[in-house]
Amino acid sequence: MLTIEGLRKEYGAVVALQGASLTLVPGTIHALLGANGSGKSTLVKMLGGVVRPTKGTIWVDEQRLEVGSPAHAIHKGIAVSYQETSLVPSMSVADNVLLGIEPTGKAGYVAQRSLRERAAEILDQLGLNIPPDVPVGELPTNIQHLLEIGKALVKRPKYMVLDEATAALRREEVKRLFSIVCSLRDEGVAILFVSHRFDEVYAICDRATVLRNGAVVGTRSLSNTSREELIQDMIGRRISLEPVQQKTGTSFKKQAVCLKARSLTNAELRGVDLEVSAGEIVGIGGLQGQGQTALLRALIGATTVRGDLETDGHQGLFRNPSHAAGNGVRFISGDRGREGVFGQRSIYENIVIGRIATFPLWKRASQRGENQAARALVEQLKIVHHSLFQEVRGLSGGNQQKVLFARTLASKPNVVILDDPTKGVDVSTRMEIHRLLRNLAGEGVGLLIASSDDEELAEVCDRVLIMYEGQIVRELTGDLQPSHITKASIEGAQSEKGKGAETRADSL
Amino acid sequence: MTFTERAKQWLEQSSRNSLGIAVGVAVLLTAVGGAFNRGFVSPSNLLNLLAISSLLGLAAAGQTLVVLSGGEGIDLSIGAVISLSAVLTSQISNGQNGLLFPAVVVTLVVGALLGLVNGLGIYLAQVPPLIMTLGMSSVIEGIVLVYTQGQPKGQAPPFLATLGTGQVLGIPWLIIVWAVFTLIIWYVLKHMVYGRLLFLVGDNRSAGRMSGVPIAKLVVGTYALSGFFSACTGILFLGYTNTTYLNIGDVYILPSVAAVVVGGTALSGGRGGYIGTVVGAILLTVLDSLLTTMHMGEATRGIINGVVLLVLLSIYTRQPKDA
Repeated sequence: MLTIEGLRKEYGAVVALQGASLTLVPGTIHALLGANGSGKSTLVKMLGGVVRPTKGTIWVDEQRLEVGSPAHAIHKGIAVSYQETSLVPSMSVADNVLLGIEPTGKAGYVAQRSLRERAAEILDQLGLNIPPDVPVGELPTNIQHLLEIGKALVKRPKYMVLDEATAALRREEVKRLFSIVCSLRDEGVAILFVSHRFDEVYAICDRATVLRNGAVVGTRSLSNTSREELIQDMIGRRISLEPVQQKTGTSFKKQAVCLKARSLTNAELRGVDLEVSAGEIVGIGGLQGQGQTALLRALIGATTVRGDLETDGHQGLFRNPSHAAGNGVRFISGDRGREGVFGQRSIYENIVIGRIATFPLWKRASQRGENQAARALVEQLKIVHHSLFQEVRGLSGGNQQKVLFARTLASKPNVVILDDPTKGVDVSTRMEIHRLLRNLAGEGVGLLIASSDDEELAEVCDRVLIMYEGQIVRELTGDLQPSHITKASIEGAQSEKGKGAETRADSL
Repeated sequence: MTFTERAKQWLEQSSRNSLGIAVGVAVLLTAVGGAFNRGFVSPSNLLNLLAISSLLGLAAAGQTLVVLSGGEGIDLSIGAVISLSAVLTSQISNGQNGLLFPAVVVTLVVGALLGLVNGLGIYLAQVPPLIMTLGMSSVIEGIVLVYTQGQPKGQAPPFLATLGTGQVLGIPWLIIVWAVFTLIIWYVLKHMVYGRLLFLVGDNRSAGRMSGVPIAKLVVGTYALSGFFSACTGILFLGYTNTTYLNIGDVYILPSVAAVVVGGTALSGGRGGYIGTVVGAILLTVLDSLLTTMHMGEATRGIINGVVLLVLLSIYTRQPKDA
């Protein structure tokens, strides 16, 4: 028996999990459900010993699990298949599957033959017909996810955790996984199955625990619980915040369309159509990892994609982000440190690049009054600083985000595409950024915002598109409520019947 | 404030100003040379030192741009391109002023093209810069060997020889040429779109890409520029030595990197500039000359050279605590 008792995790001021408890019984499959940011992944990582709890205990067979020790978790019979996989791309299939538990010979060297044999066994069990010597990085994502599961299976666990294990798999692969999982259950293994697919949960699970905002809402037996009850548990009652600013409320059908995409398709997208009008803010919601980021990147030409694109004055897909920027389509990445700011360069330079990035390289960049222009933006956005020439890495996250906005404003864009624009910023900065977005739309710029925060989408957007497995399955308009967006996201997971149907939020 | 506190504070502050330190050390070394031998600080010797520095300074110009561009940027083919350029110019011109112009044009184009190939290999084929330019280096050396059959012919046309060794109003032409180059590079880095973007992209290439910078053009172009500057150096080097022999450029490979780093440009890219490299080139030349003046043996010179480099770099890389 594995018992989780009052598990709590704080990241600075953010509470990811506030005292979660649940029990895994041998010979059962236990579902763990919850919307974005409800704390599922944090819980899973603590079981695997990857994340240290701030408080609380995990008991395995009446013994306390050492915190923050993946090796001890494995020793106690816990194996985790992680959502984002824990494979080493450059290492071979066999080495990956047996990573950390390599069979060793007398002198401590790795026994290659037995390593390959054991890896082959697991591949066979998973129905994978791939050579064990190829580097994992060269394999398609569905195979990689199967290998991640194989890596857990090979440990012959007593407690197995599958975090969104089926998300990347094909139908027949899911079937095969289920037969393996069910036979494990019959052998007395306890399985924690984290998923957002209700069909799958009902197909194999005995009980379900629902998390909401980091707390356990309850554990129910699935045989006498309906989907509606589970969804209700996941959404709960949310307090909706007053909108920062009154939305314009105009009908955008009359406005000029400034971004129009048709049947965008690649490994992560399955035919996405969308339109953004000048002055409109369109949100992209849905459960995490449904292709939102892939869609944004496809639009600016940062990844390869098939389909068609039309913007103000340009016809066709963009070759690269520079091509998009040159046509007035600007992007603000959700990964501020890696793809946003130039940390060692000054605030001033970080802003001016917005204006000069797409100029011919041999042109003169300096301009009379460019200092004043940058300073005006810094004041306008209330960026807290002591000098225009200080390094950006010395600023707080919220102020760095504002620098990215200043850069975008300096570029005079037609369309701005944003990924999680308020990730990791404090409440007041968040409100300022929302106000900025509305102002930008007021000036006739079209905005497309992907966010995992449904309150944010409800607050700033005129229209929200819900994505599920690489498709847009719902469109919400009218009076947007965070709970409606969350509900639509979860229901998108339940069935895809809603595709193409325009659902008015107030009719929900 | 005690002396140690004051020294500590000075070190903290000065570590943010590596250029100031480099200038200080260069002046100090010159003063030491003067104390040892008055002739060391005579105007003619100082001008001579500057003239020698100019060749290293030009060789390190392309290196500066490449290092600034980030992505572990480094150009180890500089030496080979210098050698090839000296050989090309001398063979094509065959010591005649009339053939100098076509010789220079061909040499500059070839240098830029070789740099372009470096850039394409690094950007498109994703070969690490160190490997790409090292490989390019041996390819070029092989080509030179085949082209000259081991015996480079010809010599510098008189005009080029004047540029390499002559003076105007007592100032060596080399210094004037270097000053012009320095002014142009400074302007490019400070005011042109290319230069401004180079620092940003060098700091964070992914952010540059997402902000709309044409990364491919910028990075590939930078390696092409490095080839171009190496070709310029090779041509002037021919003027300086009058004749050429195989692999004359090899002596510049590592000093060009050292001049860049001593000048305060970060090997990780995005921080520094060419003025620092100018000071770095002068510092290294003065140091080498000083050790020669002091009649130190090859081994001792090597040791002291290395120690000075290490001490300087360890001061530069002291990170201010608030960063």
